[in-house]
Amino acid sequence: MQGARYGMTRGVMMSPLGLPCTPPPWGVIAGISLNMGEIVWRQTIGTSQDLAPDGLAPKTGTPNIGDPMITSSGLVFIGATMDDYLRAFDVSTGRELWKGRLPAGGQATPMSSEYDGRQYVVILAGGHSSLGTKQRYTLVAFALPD
Amino acid sequence: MKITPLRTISLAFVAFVAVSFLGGSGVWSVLGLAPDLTIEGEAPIVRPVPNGAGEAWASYGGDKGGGATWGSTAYDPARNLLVVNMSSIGAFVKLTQKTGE
Repeated sequence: MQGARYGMTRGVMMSPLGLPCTPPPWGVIAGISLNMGEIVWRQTIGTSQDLAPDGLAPKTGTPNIGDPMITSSGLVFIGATMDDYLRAFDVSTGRELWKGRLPAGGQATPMSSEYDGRQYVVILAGGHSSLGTKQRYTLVAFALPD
Repeated sequence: MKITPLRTISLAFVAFVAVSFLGGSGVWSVLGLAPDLTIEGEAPIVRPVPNGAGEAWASYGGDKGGGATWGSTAYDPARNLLVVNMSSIGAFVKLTQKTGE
């Protein structure tokens, strides 16, 4: 705020190369069995594809902001990462099954709905200023091919 | 330019410092020299209440953690499994507390 004596900013501490200053993995999703009270699987989410200037994409995970969504068929959909993808994981094993490219950062919670007999997964790809992902006003829907 | 052992060592040192500076601690991690940032501790596991037919959703996906957090959850009632975005800061809390059931 202009004129205020103090200000606040938040973000991910990055090296000059554009990578986080903490050791990887930089983003992890996990499944916790509430019957056992234990983490039954753990999976990195995200790559450095859109972080490092050389475009290399090792599966390091990325800092992320966003929530997962689970379907009744056992799929976990989550965006959140600093590379612009929506991903699907197997809820039982945590294995990454699919990813779809987004036009901007997917820092939002996906949703799923049926329309005209077809199931869609929708996410608002708007980006996030704290993460520095691409910001746009885009709503993206994915569906299985006919 | 003649390659001497001193020049080789100097170049290697400069390259190492430059790569470390540019790549952050990811380089140290690759070399196995990064510190372990795992935090040993306990965190409560709050069992989400699945929304039954006809009930209003108190929160999206039955998530009681609050949506606008750096790391949130979704609940799968069929498998009694909580999917957690453990997020981003390089340190992970080891969940050890049982549900008591």
